[in-house]
Amino acid sequence: MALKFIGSRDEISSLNLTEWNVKDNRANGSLYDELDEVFYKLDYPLPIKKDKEDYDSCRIYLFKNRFGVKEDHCFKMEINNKRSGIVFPLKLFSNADILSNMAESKDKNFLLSFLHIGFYNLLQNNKISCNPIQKSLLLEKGSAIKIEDFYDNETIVLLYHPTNTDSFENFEIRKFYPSLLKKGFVPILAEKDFNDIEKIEIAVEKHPFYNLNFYDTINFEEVRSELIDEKYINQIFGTILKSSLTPVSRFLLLYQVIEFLMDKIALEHYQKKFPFDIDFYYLMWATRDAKSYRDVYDNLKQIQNAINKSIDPIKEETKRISKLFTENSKLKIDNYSSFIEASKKIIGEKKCLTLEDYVYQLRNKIVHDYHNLSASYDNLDHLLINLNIEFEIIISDLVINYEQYQ
Amino acid sequence: MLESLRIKYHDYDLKINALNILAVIKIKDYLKIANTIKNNNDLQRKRVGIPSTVYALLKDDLKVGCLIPTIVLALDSEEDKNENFTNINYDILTKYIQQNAEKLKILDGLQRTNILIDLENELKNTNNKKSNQIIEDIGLLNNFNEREIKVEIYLNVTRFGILYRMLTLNTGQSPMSLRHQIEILYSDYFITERDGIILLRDAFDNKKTIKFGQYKFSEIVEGVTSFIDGSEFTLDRYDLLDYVKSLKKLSLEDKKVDIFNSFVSTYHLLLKVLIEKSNSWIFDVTNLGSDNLNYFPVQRVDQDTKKEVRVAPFGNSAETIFLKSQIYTGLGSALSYLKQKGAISEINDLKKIIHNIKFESTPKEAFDNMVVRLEQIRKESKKIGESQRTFFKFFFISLFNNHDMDSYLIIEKAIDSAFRKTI
Repeated sequence: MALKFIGSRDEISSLNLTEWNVKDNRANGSLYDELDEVFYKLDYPLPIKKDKEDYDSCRIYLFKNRFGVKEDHCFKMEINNKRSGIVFPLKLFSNADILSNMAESKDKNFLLSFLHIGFYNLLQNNKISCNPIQKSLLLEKGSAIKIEDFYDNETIVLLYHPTNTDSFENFEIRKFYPSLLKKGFVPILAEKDFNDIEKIEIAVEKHPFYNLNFYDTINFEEVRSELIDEKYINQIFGTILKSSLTPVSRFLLLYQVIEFLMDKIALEHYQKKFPFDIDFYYLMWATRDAKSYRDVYDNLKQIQNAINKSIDPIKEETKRISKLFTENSKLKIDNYSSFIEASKKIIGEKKCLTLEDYVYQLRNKIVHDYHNLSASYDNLDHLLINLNIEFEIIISDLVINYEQYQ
Repeated sequence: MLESLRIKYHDYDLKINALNILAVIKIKDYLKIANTIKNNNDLQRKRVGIPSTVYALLKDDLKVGCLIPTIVLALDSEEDKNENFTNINYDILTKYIQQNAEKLKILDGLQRTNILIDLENELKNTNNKKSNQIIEDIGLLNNFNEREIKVEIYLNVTRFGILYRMLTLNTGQSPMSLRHQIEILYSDYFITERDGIILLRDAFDNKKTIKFGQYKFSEIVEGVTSFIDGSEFTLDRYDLLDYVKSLKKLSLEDKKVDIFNSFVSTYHLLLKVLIEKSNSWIFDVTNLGSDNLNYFPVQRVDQDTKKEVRVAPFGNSAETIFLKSQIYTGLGSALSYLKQKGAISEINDLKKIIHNIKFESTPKEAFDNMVVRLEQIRKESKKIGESQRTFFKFFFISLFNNHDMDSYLIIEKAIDSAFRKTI
C-alpha cells in the first residue's frame, strides 16, 4: 500500500516515495504521482539527531484513541516490562514546540530517532492503511502538504522496536489489542476506520492518560494464551468494539466473550474428565451381557456417575463463570472498583461478594429486565456507556490473563 | 529589461486604489524577467501539478503560435512610496516599469509562465536531438521569442491591495489558501535585517534560532492570517466558504495600510516591552507553593545530578513564552477583535499603548501565575495547542481593550480573565 489520493473523477491513485534526502539535520522526500507525472515535496518537520538511521529497525502500526488524543500523548512503550519503542500522535509532527520543552538527554535523542524512523515508514507506507487525500487539496497545498494530510489528525502511531532478545517474527500486534483497548487504543486496519472509529466523549480527568506526562512510560501486556487466534476474540478486539454501537449492544457483545470462554472452559473440563475410555467400553459390554438385574443396575449407576462426573463441576452457569474469573483468569475484585461503582448504579445495592457476581447479576438484569430498566432510568444509555468503559477493561483482562485449565 | 514593452491602454482600479496598464511584450523579454522573479522567490517557484497530457498539449499549441490569456503582474508601492501616476505619460510609465522590472510579481498566470519557460528550455536543448530537429527547434524558438503576449500591470499598489486582487483574480480556479497567498506576497520581506527584525524561512535554518528580533516567517504569516480571518485557529483545510469570508473581510480593510508590516513591527515592539518589563524573570519551579507545584510533577530523577526532573513549563522567561507560535495567532485574532470593537482603528494603534502595560504585583508573581495557568490549561483541555491559542487571544484582548477597564493594560488581570474564558 502506498500513500493515496482521490482524483477529480473519484479514482484512487498512489503516491510513491521516490526520493528521501537527509542532510545537515534536515530531511525531505519526494512523492511521485504516476498518473499525472507530478512530484510533491514533503519536508520532515522536526529536528534530526542522526543523518543515518536504520529504517528497518522498527515497525509501525496505526491506532486511534476512542477517548481522544492530545498533542503531548507521546509515551515510551514497554511490552511485558521491557522498553520496546514509542507511541505518539501524528500531530506531534506539527507541534515541534512540545519537543523544544524537553531537556537535551539520551531519552530525547532516542525519541528524535524514533520519530524520524516513524516518519520515513509513514511515507513508505508498505503495510499500513492510509486515508486518501483529495487531489484538489494536494494541488492547493503543494509543498505545504503535511504527513497528517495522508492519515488524519487523530491518528496515533505505535512504533515497535524489538529489544535484543525479541524479534519481529515473535511479535504479533494482535496479541496486544486487549491491553491497548484498556487505554482506549483501537487499531486502524482499513481505510474506512479513519472515519468509522467511534469517539467517546468523557470528562478530561477520566482519560486514561490524565495523570501521565509527556514521554512517561506505558506498559502493554501480551495475551498469554492462543485465545487471540479464536475468530470471535480477534473480531471483537480488531473490529467490533471500535465501531459505533448502542450501549446495550456493546454490553451484550462484550458479554459474548464470557459466554465463549465459559463454553471453552466447560469443554476443556469435559475433555479432561472424558468418561468414554476403554474401561467405560468394557463396562457397557458387561452391562449388555449381564445375567442379573443387580449387575445391570450397579453397572448403569457406575456409567451414570462417570458421565455426571465429567460435567458436574461446570454444569451450572454460575460455576462456569466463577471458574473463569478465579481459576483461569485470576481477576481480583479490588482492581475493579470503578466497575463495581458503575454496576451498582444499574443493579442497585445487591448482595454480591465476588466480581463475577456483579458481572452475572448485570447480565441477568440487562438480558432479562432491560425493558424495566429502560422505563426506570432516563439516563440509562449514559449509565451503560460508563459501565461499558469499565466492563471492557474486565473483558480485556479476562482475555489477557486467560490460561488453559490445568 | 523589457525593451519591447508597449503600453496600449490604462485605467484606475478604484477599489484597490491603483493604476492598471495593459501592455504587450515579446515573449523573450517576458521570460527574462519571469526567470528572475521565479529565481528570487522560492514560493513563486513552487509548481502546481498539471496533468502531463494537458501540459504537453498546451506546449505543442504554443509552438504553432496559440494565444494565451493576459498575464497579470504588479509592482508594489513599498519601494517608492512617493510615486504617483496622476499625469499619465506612457513613455515615463514604460521607463518606470523597465527600471523596476525585477520587482514585478506574478498575480495571475504562474502556471502559464511555467509552461512558457519549459517550452523555451525544451527548444533550446540540443541533447539527444537529431540535427534536423535542432534546426527546426531553433526556427521555432526564434518565432516563439518574437511573438508578443498581453500583460496587465498594477502600479503603485500596496501589497494588501495585491493580496485582495490576487484572491479576486483567482476566483473560479481551485482556491488557494489565504495563508499561501500571503506567503507568496510577502516572501521577500525581512530576508535581510530591517528595523532590527529578520524573518527566518525555515524552522531549522542553519543554526539560526528563534529569538528576539529573529522570527519564523511562517508563524508571522499565521498571525496575519488570524488577523484577517479573526480566528486564532490555524486553518488546515480550505473550502469555498472560508475563501468567500476572507474576501469579505479583506474588502473592509483599508488598502493603504500594510498589515504584514504593521503586524511584524507591532509584535516586535510588544515582545521588546514584555521582555524589558519582565525584569529578567526566570521561572523556577522550586519557588512555587504546593498547590501550584502539583501541576509540575516529578518525571524522573537525573542519574548524574540526582536532581528531580519535573514537567517542563510552557516557557521559562518572557522571551521563550512570547516567542511561541501560539502567540502569533492569539495576537492576530485579538487584534481583529479589538479593531472590530473599535478599541483600535488599525494594528499600529497598539504601539501607542504597549509601553503602558503594567503589573499590579511583580513581574515574577504575574508570570509565575501565567505559566501555572498555562500548565493547568494543558492538563484540562482536550486540544492543548488550540486552548493555548485561545488563552493568548483573550489575554491580548483583555490587556488592550479599553472598553474593559478592569483588565486594561494590567497583566495579572488579563491573565485571570483569559484563563476564565479559556477553561
